[in-house]
Amino acid sequence: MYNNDTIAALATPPGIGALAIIRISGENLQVLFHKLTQNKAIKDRFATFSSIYCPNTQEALDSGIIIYFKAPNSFTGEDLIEINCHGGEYISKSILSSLYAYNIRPANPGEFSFRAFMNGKIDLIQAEAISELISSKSTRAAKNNLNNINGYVSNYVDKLRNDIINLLSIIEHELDFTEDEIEQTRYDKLADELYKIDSAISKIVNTSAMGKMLSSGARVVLFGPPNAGKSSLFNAILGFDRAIVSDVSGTTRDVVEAWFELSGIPVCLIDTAGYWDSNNYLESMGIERTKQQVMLADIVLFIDIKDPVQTFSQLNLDLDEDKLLFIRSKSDLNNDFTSPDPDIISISTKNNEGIASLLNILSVKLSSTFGSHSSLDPIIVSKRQRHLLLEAQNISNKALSLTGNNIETDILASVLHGLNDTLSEVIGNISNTEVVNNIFSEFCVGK
Amino acid sequence: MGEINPIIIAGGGHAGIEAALAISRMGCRAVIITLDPKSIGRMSCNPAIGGLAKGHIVKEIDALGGIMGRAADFSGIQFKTLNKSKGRAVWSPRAQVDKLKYTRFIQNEISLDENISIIEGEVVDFAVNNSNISTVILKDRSAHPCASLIITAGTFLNGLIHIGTRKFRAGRMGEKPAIGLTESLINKGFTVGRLKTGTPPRLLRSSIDWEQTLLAPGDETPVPFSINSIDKFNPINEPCHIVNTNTGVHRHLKENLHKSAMLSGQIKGVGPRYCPSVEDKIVRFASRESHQLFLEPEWANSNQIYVNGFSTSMPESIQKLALMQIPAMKNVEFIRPGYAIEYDYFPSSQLKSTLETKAIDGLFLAGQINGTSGYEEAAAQGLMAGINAASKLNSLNPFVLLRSSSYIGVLIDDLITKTIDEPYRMFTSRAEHRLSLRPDTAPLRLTELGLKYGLITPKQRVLFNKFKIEVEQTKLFLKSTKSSLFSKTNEPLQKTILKNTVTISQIQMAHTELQNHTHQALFTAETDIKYQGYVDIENRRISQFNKIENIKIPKTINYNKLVSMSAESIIKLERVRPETLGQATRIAGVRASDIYILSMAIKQSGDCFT
Repeated sequence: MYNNDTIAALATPPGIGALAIIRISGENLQVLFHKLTQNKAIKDRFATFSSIYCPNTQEALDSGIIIYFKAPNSFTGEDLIEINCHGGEYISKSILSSLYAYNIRPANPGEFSFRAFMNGKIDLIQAEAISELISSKSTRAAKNNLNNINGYVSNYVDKLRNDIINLLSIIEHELDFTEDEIEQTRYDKLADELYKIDSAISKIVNTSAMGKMLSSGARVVLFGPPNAGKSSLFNAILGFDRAIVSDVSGTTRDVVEAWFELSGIPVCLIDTAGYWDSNNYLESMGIERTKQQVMLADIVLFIDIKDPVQTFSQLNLDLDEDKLLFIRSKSDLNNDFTSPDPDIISISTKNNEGIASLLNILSVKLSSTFGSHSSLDPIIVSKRQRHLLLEAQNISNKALSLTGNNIETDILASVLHGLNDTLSEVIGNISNTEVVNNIFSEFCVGK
Repeated sequence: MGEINPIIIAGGGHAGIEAALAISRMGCRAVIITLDPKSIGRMSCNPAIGGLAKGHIVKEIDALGGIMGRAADFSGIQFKTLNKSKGRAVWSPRAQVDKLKYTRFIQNEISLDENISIIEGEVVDFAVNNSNISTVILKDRSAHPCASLIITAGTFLNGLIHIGTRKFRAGRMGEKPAIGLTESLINKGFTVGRLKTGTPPRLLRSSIDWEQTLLAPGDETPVPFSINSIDKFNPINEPCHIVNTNTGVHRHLKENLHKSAMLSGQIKGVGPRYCPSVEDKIVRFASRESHQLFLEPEWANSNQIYVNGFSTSMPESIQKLALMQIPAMKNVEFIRPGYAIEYDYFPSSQLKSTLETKAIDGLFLAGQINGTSGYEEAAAQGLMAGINAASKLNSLNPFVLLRSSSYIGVLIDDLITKTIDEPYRMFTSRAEHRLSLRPDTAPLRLTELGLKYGLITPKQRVLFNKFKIEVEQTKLFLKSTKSSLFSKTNEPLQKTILKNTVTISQIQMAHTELQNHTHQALFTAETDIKYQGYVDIENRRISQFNKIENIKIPKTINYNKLVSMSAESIIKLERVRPETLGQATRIAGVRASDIYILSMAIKQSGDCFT
């Protein structure tokens, strides 16, 4: 996959739009620039307005802004040309075809980012953040991914690695000399350092729940007997905040989902209307589907007209109580019902009462579930990073278990090397090229 | 079918003798050509064998049937395992030896060996036929046909001794240098470099006030280097004597640093971990107010005392003045001052992993001539070159050790891959597989391979098999035997060992099944158990990163055709011409993306192979 032939692709989504961007990356693109513009002067990183010509036939294809980025100061680290042309399928296609006829190859998915990575312009964490940014589902998610593009997580991991390497240098140095030749570090000092490293790893590993949620969103499921007002509540919540990010109708699953943003967090609200038999609470055909949603949920909003706590307990469902919020609906009809349980939230969609406070409570609950982190904390997002950092945590625990009365520094050195290697992999120092290939092949074309 | 020519070895030092003996064990004939037959096996410097990482190498040489370990066991006057306060993978055996006994042992074995003959002379040139070596030419103009030539000339090639500002040609103090061979090699296209190494003064025993020295005895239960010595090992235990330098000593040295040939000379940057000279030590560890010096007799009852830790190339007067600051040395007299020796060496990027030169078939270089320092490093190379020269004659596969199998493997791989700017010395930190390369497991790692190549005597084979079986039996016993003697619950003894609440000796005393097992076998079994978990992790980690380690790079590759690669990396790869992708990753400055390109090229077997 890594060549340095010239590649080109559409960087914007195909379809109709005002503008499209075509990206070309390769070595020494000056000649190409001249061919594309009929010899306009090249000004590095300068937006030039020009007609765009077919490099072979010199037929005029479009006119727009063309920018030349001289290596290494470009996204990929090679020469890069960006053509901002008119949107619409035909124009961008004709420009691309003319480029391909000029011996330029169509880029593979993720290939621009791959070259950026290979040329050391970005590390793997940043590469993954770029990909994540494009699919961010909320403002907080976007902010977090931007932070990671700017190196928040990378810096954190790098600092950690430096601490480990410093510790390793001391240990390795001492292993090469006998006790008579140099001063040997005291064991309690070594243990202190290890403990600090371990805490730092735990800290970032613990952000992954939040990261996962920012990336995939929190799943909030509406559950309860028929006519409890689930669908009304569904609409009320969505109507409350108009920033819907995406709308998925699940025909195969017979559930209705919609995304909304709650305090910057992407939430997928799921309505399980239709799987509750008035006689047997859970109709057998739909039982699995509803159960699945409820089990997969991060939060379950259990709604009942009368006493949600009691109704729920009759179901004998083995569900983590921490996930549940109990809601008594249609409070406008039940004025004289006083619940012994202060945690039941009363709402009336008809009168628009209680919805705001429900959303507040929901927001607080989500924060406590996923850990509260400020927007300045590094938060890890990708599964790959999480997996490696968990491994690092494992190794770090092992290192800590070695400290005691007699630290065998040869074993400790080996364990710390393993820790360092694992953290390097997070940033992307991987000599296993297949792994790297796999990561980038999941990016989209033009990225 | 004519008679097969012998393998000629130029030089009778530690490298040369291991080569000769290995060649003989493999059934071929060896001829040692030496300037002085009486100097065969001579120890030029430290009267000690082994030490940190070096002890590991000696065990490995022994595991392949070499002589160094047996010679040290025979002539040792004090045995000590260093680094005992650290983990077992870095326990390093060391012996102070009687130099005369050591040399005698070696010369005796060589003289009794029918396959080895000695010629007194000096190799100055050699003839090549179709890029195959054919004849060795001596200074007296005689020509000797050979199957292979192994050059183990040590520090003799254009050797130049420096004492302060005095310079004179010598191979070692008191011995002539070798002139001419370097020039012949240069004429045949080899590149040569210069290195310097230092040695301490020799003091007159009677001039030292021994009452003012500290006594340091050897281990109470000494452990031999060689598996052959297991049964009858009862060495003497001469205590070693220690003195400490002090601020007075350091001041004298500091004030005269500019007079040190080593520090004022050509070496640009002294490496971070090497302490070749005492002046170097006081600069690097400036905050330390004193360093230990070991006073070692060169042989039993000898008058010559070697000052270990005081390697120097200061002028003689300064050396003396500095040492006189030590109370025990108020009236010290020198037999010989310390000196630095400068000598030719050949960058090992010119060698294959068999130590055969890439340019000329049948020509091998081994030992200090490759830029290493230390008897043990030299002996290991001599052993490997000898085995490979004989393997060629016996039509066996090349004998190459992996980094994961031995320190010898690490040594050779480092030599042929890295650039050397100061004498290369082995450290345990050079081995990424350190936990797997424990000194006590050397036989288990190497002897079976040695058996395949005919390197192991019948006697050693028996001892090895006994050791191997006892280790396996012990491990099996510990795994399958449950006991609550040493733990609260009834659990396999293996588990109790992992908890560190019992030693193997305690277990041996309580179970008759282990009664007759040797201490070494029990030790190895116990350590294997303790280390297994970490070794597994280490191996997994390393193999993940080294999926590419053993991928061979086709010999026909033309790096210039890899257009995506940076020009610098192409130059580096062309210079080293690594044999495997793993070796390529260790070349300084070669980047991950270059390895990527290279591995893709190999997979696609494109047109860069012409």
